[in-house]
Amino acid sequence: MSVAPQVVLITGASRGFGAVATRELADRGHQIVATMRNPDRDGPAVFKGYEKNIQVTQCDVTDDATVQAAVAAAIERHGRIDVLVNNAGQSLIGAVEELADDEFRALLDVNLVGCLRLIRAVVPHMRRRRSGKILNISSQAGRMGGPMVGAYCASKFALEGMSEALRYELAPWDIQVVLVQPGIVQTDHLYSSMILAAALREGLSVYQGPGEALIAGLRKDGARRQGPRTVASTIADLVEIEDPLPLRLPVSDDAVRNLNQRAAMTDDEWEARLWAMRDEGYPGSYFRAVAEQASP
Amino acid sequence: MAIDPRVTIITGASRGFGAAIARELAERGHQAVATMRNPDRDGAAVVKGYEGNIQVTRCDVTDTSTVESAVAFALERHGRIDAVVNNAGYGLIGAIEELQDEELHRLMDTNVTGVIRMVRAVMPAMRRQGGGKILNVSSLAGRISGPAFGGYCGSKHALEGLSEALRYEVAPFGVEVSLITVGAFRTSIQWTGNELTRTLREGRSLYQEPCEAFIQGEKDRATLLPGPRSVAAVIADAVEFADPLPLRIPVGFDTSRVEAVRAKMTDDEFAAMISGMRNTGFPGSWFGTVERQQKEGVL
Repeated sequence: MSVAPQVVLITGASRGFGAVATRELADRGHQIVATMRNPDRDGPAVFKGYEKNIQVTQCDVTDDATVQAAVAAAIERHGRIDVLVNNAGQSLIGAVEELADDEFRALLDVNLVGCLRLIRAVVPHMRRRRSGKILNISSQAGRMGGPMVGAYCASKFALEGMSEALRYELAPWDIQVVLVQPGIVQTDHLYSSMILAAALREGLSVYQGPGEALIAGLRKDGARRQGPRTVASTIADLVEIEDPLPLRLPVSDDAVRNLNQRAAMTDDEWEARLWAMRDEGYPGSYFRAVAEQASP
Repeated sequence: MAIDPRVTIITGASRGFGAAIARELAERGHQAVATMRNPDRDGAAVVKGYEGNIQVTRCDVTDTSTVESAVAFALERHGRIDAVVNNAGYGLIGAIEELQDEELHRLMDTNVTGVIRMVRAVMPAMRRQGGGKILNVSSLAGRISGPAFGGYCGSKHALEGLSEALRYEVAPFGVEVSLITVGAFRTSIQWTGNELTRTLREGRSLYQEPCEAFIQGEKDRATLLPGPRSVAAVIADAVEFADPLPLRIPVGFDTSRVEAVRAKMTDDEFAAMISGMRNTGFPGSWFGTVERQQKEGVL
C-alpha cells in the first residue's frame, strides 16, 4: 500500500499502545504528534531514531488548555490533522460497591472526558477539510462487564455509546469514528500502571480475596499473551486504509473470540459460562476464589 | 401471588416512572420509601391515598450524605431494605462535539455515580440480610446510540457495564442486580427529563436544526405513547418475584423488537438502517434534516 504521509495526533504516547503505535506509524513514513504528560522524561525513548517523523508534545488529557495547545502545535506544524488517536486511558480495579466518588470521576475524566476534550479541539480542523478519522481506543470491556472492573467497563461502555452517536453526527463531513477493542494485552496497565481502588489497595475490601486472585489472574494472562505490537500495527492500518472503516474493530484473538461469543449468547448463557470458569487467568481466578470462599 | 410485603427504596420518585413505581408497589401492599430532592413540593401527590404504604424522604443522588440518610431512614422505619430501584436520572440533548466537560461530568454524576452512591449505602444492609435486589432503570439508549443523544447514551451504556460487573460481585451475598431496559413511554426521559447543552440552548449550535427537529419529533411522538404504568408494574413484578432475575428486563412495546433487530444485525447494517430513516420521530427527524441541509449546501 502506498499511502500519502498522514498527520496523526495520538494521546498517551509515552508507553504501551501509544508509544508502539507512534513508532510503527513513523516507520511507515507518517508524521506523528505524540502527546504525553511528561515529554522530558518519556519523550526521547519514543522519538529516538525517528526524529523527523515524531514530534513529542506535552498534553494531559484532563487539562483542556494543554489539549488545545497540543492541537494548535500540530496544526501550526503540519497545517492539518488527518487522524486523531484517543489512546490515553487508565484502568481501575475495585468492586463497584467500594468505589469512591473521586476514584470514579477521575477515571471518567481520563477515559471519557479526555477523549471528548480532544474531539472538541480537533473536529473543527477536520470539518474544514471535510475529512478525518477519529480512532477511539476502547476495549473488549466496552462490551462486556466483569467483576472488579466495573468502573473501567463503565468508562469504556460510555465511550462506545458516545462514539456511536458521534459517528452519525460527523458523517456529513466525512469524518469517521472507529472503536478499537483490544483484549488482554501485555502492557504496563497490568503491572506498574495498574490502579487499585483504595479499599483493595489498603487490604480493607470485602472482596479482598477474590480481588487479589483476579489481579493475579490478569497478570498471569498478560504474561502469556502478546505485547502491544498487534494493536499498534492495527491502529497504523486504520490510519492508512482508504476504504470506509467499521464502527468497531476487535483486535487480538481473545477480544475477537470473546466478543463473538458474547454476541452469540444470551445474557444467561454468558453469565453461566463465566461462573463456571476455574482457570488461573481472568476472570476464572475470581470465580474460583469466590467458589472456594463459599465452600470452606 | 401472595407475597410478603417488601420494603423498596426508590430514587427520583417525585414524578414519572419513580412516582408510578412507588404507587404501584403501595397498591400491591408493599412498603415504598419514595425519595426525591424536594419532598415538600412533590411528596404529597405521590403519597396521596397510600399514606400507610409510602414514606417520602429527601434524597439527592448527587449528594452522598442524603443518600445515606435516606437509607438510614428506611432501615430505621422498616428494619430492612428488600429492593432498591435506581430510577433517578435525566437526559441531555446536544452533539458530542459541543458537550462541555462539566455537562458530561454532571450527567454521569447523576445517572451513574448516583447509582454507585446508593449501592454503597444499601449493600451493608443487604449483605447482613443475606439478600436483596438492585433494580437499575436503564434504557434502549444503554444498548444503542444515536445522534444528538450521545451524552445520555454514554451514561446509560456506562450504567449497563457497571451493572453487569456489580451483578457478579454481589451474587455471592444473595443480592441480584437487574437492568430495566425502558423503551418509548410518554413519561420517559425524552419527554420530561431532558436538558439541552448550553450551545443548543443558546441557539448557536452547528447542529441546531437537526437537534431541534429531534426535540420536536420526540415531543410530537410522546403524546402518542403510553404512560408509566407498565414500567411500574414490571418493576413491581421484579420486586415480588422469588425466582432469579435476569440481567436485563425489557419493557415497552418496541423494546424487545429493537433489541432483537439490533442483535441480529451487524454494526454496518444497523447504521445503514437508521441512517435511512426519514420518519418524523427519532432518529428520522435528525437524518432527514441533515439530508435537507446537505442538499441546500448548508453543511
